[in-house]
Amino acid sequence: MHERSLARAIVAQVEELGREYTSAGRPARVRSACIHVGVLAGVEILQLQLALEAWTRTTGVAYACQAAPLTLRCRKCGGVSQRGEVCFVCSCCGGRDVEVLAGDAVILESVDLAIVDSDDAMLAQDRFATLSP
Amino acid sequence: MPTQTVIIRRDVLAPARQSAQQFRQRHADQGTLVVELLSSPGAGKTSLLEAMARHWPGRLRGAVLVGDVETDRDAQRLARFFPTVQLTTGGACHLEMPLVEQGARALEPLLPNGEPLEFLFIENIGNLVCPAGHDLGQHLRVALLAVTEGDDKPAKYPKAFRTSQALVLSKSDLLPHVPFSLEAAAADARQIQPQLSVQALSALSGQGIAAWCELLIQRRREMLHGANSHHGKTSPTISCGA
Repeated sequence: MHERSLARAIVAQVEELGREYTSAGRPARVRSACIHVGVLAGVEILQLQLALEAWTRTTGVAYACQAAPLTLRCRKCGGVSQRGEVCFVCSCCGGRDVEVLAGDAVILESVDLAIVDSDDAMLAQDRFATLSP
Repeated sequence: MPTQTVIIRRDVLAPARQSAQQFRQRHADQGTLVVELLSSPGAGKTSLLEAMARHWPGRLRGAVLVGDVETDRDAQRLARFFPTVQLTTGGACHLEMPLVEQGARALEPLLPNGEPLEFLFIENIGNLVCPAGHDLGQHLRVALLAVTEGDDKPAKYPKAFRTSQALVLSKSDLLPHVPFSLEAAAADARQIQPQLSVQALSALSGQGIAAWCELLIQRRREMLHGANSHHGKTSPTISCGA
């Protein structure tokens, strides 16, 4: 159920990005967007993909969802490990007191923008620095 | 036309998380501990709130935002004890910040003398899956697991238990009749979240309610004194006492 509302939020944010970036003085056209779905995000990746594809028909933006691993840091040994499944065990020492660093969220990873010329590409590059976390 | 890939790397729910963080801070500043209750349908969230109100008659400055897909049945039950606002989602499987904010605004005229609350309880929709992914500005997320549900459930719903700071094993009066091990359920949940406080209780008999209320008072005290109530508070035993 909530994959549909999540898809709406993603579509709105991608549209907003299209307005933030410009190409030849006009809002840039977003051709595609890549979404990383953490294994602990609580989101069914196929349902999210289908919900986004329904929007592709009206917006023209192609969406690709891919799974992102769980990244853990052990509070005991300090080791950082990645897990492709939901598992709260440190790969280094087997400890269970771990902190989740990544893999519990849905991330708008990247967008592909249609660019008219290289100046605009530079503009987009400049904007990237202010947009990234 | 050429394309350029721009890395965005932005949490899609970041705006909602930010709004939840502001809600949490606002309530902490006025001394209100926000407690979210999360469970499958029928685990006893509303009954727990009623039992707490009976245990703390006239002493608990609390209010409730209660979420359901349909009907105001829970609000009708709880309004006997607390200023209550029913949040109905009309089909959605979990609460989100805009509805919670709206509920908190609707609550204000119901509060006696405009005094700040000690506790704001948010009873989420009965569901162990979707609500776990949404921050509602709570200081304490409590997962309830009724002993009738089986002690093998925590690992099956890892996010709900991972994102909780307390686990209530409810309907403990039924323990003689069901094959449920408090120790096994607690151990299963702590494999996922080692820092969970665990309390077994019965809203019907009242067993464990006093200890549970004490835990909430303690968590509020920690919040008021700026202690981090979410980490490093390991409870080595399961508490079942009065």
